[in-house]
Amino acid sequence: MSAERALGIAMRVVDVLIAVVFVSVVANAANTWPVYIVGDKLLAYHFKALFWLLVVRSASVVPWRRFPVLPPIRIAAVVVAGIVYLLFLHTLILTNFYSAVVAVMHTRAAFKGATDAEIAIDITEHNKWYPRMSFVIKVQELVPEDAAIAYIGDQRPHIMSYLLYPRRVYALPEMQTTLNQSIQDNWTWSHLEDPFHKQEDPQNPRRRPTPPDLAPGRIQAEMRRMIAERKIEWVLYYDSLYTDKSFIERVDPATLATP
Amino acid sequence: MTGVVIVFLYLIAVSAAGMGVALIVFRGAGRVAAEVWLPVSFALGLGLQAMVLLSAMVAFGAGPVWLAGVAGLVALGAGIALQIKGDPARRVDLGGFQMFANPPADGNQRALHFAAFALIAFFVVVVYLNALSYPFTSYDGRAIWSYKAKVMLHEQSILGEAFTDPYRIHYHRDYPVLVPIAMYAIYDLTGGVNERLVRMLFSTFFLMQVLFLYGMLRRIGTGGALAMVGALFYCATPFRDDWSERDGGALNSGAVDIPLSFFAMVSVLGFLLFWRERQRWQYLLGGVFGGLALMTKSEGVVIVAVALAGNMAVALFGRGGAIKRDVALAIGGVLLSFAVALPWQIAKSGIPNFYDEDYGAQFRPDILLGAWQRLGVILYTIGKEIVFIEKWNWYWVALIAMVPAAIPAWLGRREFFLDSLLLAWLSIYLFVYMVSPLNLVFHLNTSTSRLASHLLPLVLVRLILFWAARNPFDTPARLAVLRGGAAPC
Repeated sequence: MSAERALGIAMRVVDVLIAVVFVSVVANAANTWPVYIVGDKLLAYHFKALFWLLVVRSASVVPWRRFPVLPPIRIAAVVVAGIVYLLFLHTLILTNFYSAVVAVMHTRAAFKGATDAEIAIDITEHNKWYPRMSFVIKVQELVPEDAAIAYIGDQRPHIMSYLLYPRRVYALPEMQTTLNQSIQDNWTWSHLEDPFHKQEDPQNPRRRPTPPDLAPGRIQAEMRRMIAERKIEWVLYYDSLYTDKSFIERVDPATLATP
Repeated sequence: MTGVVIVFLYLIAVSAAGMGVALIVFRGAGRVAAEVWLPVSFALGLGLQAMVLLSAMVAFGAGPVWLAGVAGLVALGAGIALQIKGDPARRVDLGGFQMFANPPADGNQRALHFAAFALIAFFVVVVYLNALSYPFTSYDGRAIWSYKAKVMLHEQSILGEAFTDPYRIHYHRDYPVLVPIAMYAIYDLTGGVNERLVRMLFSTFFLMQVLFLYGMLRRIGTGGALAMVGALFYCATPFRDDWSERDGGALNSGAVDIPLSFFAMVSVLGFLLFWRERQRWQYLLGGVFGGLALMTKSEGVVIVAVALAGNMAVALFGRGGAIKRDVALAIGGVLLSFAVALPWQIAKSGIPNFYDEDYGAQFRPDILLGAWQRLGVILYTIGKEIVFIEKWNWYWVALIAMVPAAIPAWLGRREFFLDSLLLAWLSIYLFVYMVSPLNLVFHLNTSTSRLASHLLPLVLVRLILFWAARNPFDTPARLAVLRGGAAPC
């Protein structure tokens, strides 16, 4: 058997493998859900296999025998073109088509009966950026929609405020220093607690605004006035690192304002 | 499934309302391809909706969605009446899709044209599937944009306590509301907050952007399959997934940079065509879409500023002749943008800003002198971003590679408007980082992608124009025109 014939047979095998992997991708898209929990790794292997099979198949059409007689500049051009092609193929396969199949699978999951609430819980329960949905649902059940809530806690109060709306969620700092900085200084408490914002700019520390130095008496008066005006009767404490410590409780506005 | 149908009907209704305005804007333009009038109608419909509801909120304290419907009907009626009763010579001829009506004649070009079209169709379907498959859960998506829409759904206003009470937790409460108003309408029509269906709005922006890009590439002289291939390049840019699918992605901005990028693209290309062809509708597109950008994100100010920079560059140095008239036109375009965004500017005056993004206050000698220390970090981060092939493909790298060849063209006043504008745009973004009051590393890490996305369609236009003038498949006669730089821009 000549080398060319052997190569031809090998390429047919590669063609068959490409078809098999492609069919397998489609089959997975049809049968696996929710993909973002169980299917990602499997799909990634499929697409990596597809990528390398296409690389091998593409290499077979390059006229390698002519290379030694080409001038160096053309060889360099072919090498550069090859690198560009590989990156393009990599981008096309591993990003675009991967995304396409994932989109099909997600949509199918949604239309097969997974409700938005279930998927929202699923996403938020696995994402440290968001408050735990199960905790939010408890708060939603407990607190009436027309109530006002004082938020005391760590990062991401904005999402809590969004999820609990139309309940009115207020930033109520529990410490004087926090209150100092959160009022009249354009900083909500989240900014102070967010590790990103805690960092000083090493190149130019003047970037951080200095908080106004308010007298303690004024702070307490400010806090009491705020609670009374807004009829705040609930306090929500949220700790994203120790979620079991998070709680919601009903309070007397008079005690809430006490230092 | 009913929700999907309702959202599509809403998007069609918005486009129909916008078509009424588009018939006025395009008056005297003659035949306009569907790839141009459809995206423009869609955007104008959303702009009309925002202007009407914001005006109602300011004047009456509430902006119900039905009011936008009435305004849309009035606009459509006015547009049709003008078509029927107005000067027949200035009547707008709404054409069909040129991609089907006039495909390239050459066999190979035709095959490439339709292959590119098939891939574009595929990617657009993926974008819609992504929308339906993954809820609008990015941080900014919820905290900034969807929260505003949710408040409007309950209160029909942005002037209530949720926006104005400084103690209420509301992230970036003074950010523009064109997109939240569209989200509010979708929530209202579909019976409540639906984080999945609302994403179809952004998918539609993407579709419209691809259509308009194709329409413009055809118009500005890229023959054969090149216009379709250019649209495909944008469509297949991997960054698309950052906003259309991934949870933490959305360019870290809740996908609203896609509408902004679309409005910016139309505004810039409108002015670009105007300096070439001097038609009224092109000028109106430039000015009006600048206004829509102002009503979409804070960066809209930058877009209006760079449009002014590009316009002034052509007016002063473009060898166009009547400098005074051209300077007046350049300034008039900016004034038009601010006039369109006036309802938002008025409504915004009642909303306090409790976030330290006051760039104006950074213009102090001590800050400006210290800003140079940041340049190394800024250039390193931006450089790292734009050579990220798996996100931006080769486009930014190609743009940099093109610079040596583009400099003589710029000095010779060819593509003068677009090159001046891109230069101004990049310079402003660089300067913003240099004086940013935010933590620099945080600011860079969370925003370079979105800033790159604003410019990407125009970068592609520039690359296509560069290639078009050297296209070995084009006819010598057309190449002579493209290379000649007959127009000063």
